[in-house]
Amino acid sequence: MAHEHTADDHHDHHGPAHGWRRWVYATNHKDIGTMYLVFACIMFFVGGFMAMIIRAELFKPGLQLVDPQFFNSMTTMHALIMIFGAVMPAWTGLANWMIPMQVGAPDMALPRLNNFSFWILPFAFTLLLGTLFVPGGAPAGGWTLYPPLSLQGGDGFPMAIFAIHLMGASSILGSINVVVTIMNMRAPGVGLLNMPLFCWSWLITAYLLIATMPVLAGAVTMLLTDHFFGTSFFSASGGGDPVMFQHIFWFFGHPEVYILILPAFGIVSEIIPTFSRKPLFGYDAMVYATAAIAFLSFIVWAHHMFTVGMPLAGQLFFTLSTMLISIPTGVKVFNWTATLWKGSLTFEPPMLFALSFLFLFTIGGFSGLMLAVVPADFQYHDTYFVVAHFHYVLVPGAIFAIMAGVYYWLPKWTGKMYDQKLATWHFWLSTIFVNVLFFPQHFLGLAGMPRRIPDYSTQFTDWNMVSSIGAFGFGLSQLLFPYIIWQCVKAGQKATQHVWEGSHGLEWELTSPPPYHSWTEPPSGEVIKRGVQH
Amino acid sequence: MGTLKQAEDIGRRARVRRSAWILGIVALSFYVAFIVMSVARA
Repeated sequence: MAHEHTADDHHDHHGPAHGWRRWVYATNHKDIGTMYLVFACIMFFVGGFMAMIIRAELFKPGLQLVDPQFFNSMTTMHALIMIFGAVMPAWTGLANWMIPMQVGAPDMALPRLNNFSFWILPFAFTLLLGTLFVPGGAPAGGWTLYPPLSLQGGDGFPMAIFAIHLMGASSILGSINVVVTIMNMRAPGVGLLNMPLFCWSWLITAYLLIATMPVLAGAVTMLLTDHFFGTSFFSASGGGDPVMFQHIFWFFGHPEVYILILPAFGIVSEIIPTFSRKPLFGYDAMVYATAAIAFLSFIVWAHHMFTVGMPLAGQLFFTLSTMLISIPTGVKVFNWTATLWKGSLTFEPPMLFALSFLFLFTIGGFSGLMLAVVPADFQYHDTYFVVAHFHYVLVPGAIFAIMAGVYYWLPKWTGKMYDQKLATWHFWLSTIFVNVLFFPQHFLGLAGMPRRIPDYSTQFTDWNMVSSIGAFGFGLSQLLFPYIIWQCVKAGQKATQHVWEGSHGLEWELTSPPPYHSWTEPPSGEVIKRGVQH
Repeated sequence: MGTLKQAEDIGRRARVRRSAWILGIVALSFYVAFIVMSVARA
């Protein structure tokens, strides 16, 4: 077939543009990946600062630092920023960097769409953060935006809705790019069932995003029309139903939880074999378990709503379907443990974070099982037990996996090795303080402390103080993370091509740092044989 | 000339675009479907 000559034909002959043009007009997967990661890091600290305000206010009972309305805005904004601004863009950044390198492609399939997906985000978050400065303040009804409370917001309400639409559009476009790249751009010899698990977990995540983000968009569009155009989707006085919003929201919200955690499973499945110097135990089972988790995530949403009231059959269904998720998740934990078994283990920073993930994420998983039991949930619902649960899943779960991924691939990206001693300090401080921060919240929740309150009864004081001290320690120790990266980029020792002794995969067959366009020539049969894992 | 040229092969380009459009339309139809279902229920 004749080759269609296009303006892109010269791409394999040039390097990056210079100055701001390189970033504003970026179509290179590495540049866009870097922008996503930098953006996620900034948002991590913005959201983290809000968490510090929350924990400072909760250090002791009574109102001391902020008024209750602002406190509620902080909890709402902290969640929205951490979920949509920090964790999701960090995953997209890692996907942008790694997927083309891991599947033997020169770039993402749709580079201009990739640019557009990223550049939507700064506008979305400027809009969202702008709500802090308008009359009525930032949204304060919780990230779940339940009506009728969320409809009582001030001028910030439509801004937040528009920001959520923009974030959703960005995620959907990014996901389309991931699916299309993996399905169409794999080099000859890279099959679906031998590509790295990070690609698999992202492929499944991308399908989840494409299916669920439009549902969130639909829900917030209806909130908007209820507020401004006199519709009554969620207003009982007009014949609508506020509970319907909760069903629609959680039909998005529960798969969203897996959107945040599945790529973490992929990264941990890359790191544990490398530092165990063994192939991953049960690759196929890992793929099918990921797909099973994704499927089940669509049929469990109402476990977030047990206390709203539902028929006994509904309670039973959602309890049992939720518990079913522990089977494929258990398969994964078993396989990671089996990979470690009799491995030649070493404990470099990526492995430390991955092992911490393994233990601490499992704690979050177990408390999730407790919450799946209806009568127990009636006690735990809307208490700090729930806060402890999802923070165990998201902080030592998703965020530790992101850090593990960055520490794993940073030498490959930059061609330089970071200060591993400092990174080990970062690990220990993070792991100790994250437990000081979140473990006492289990006790507070079981003792009945409600979530989303700026003040509390005095019997909750001690554990709140402990939790706040953990928060300040965790927050401060995170400053090491950008410092280590900056130091690595500026003055790191030169890294080798394979970086880690046990590293295995196509990305390690490229130089450190890799060329501007990853695989301008398809990897040869020998490289494929060496680099492809299974 | 290698993978970059292969990636720009007309057949693959058409496949890439077709897949992207299909996924985009699926996403859009989910958006519309959930609003239409809510209209029907309300």
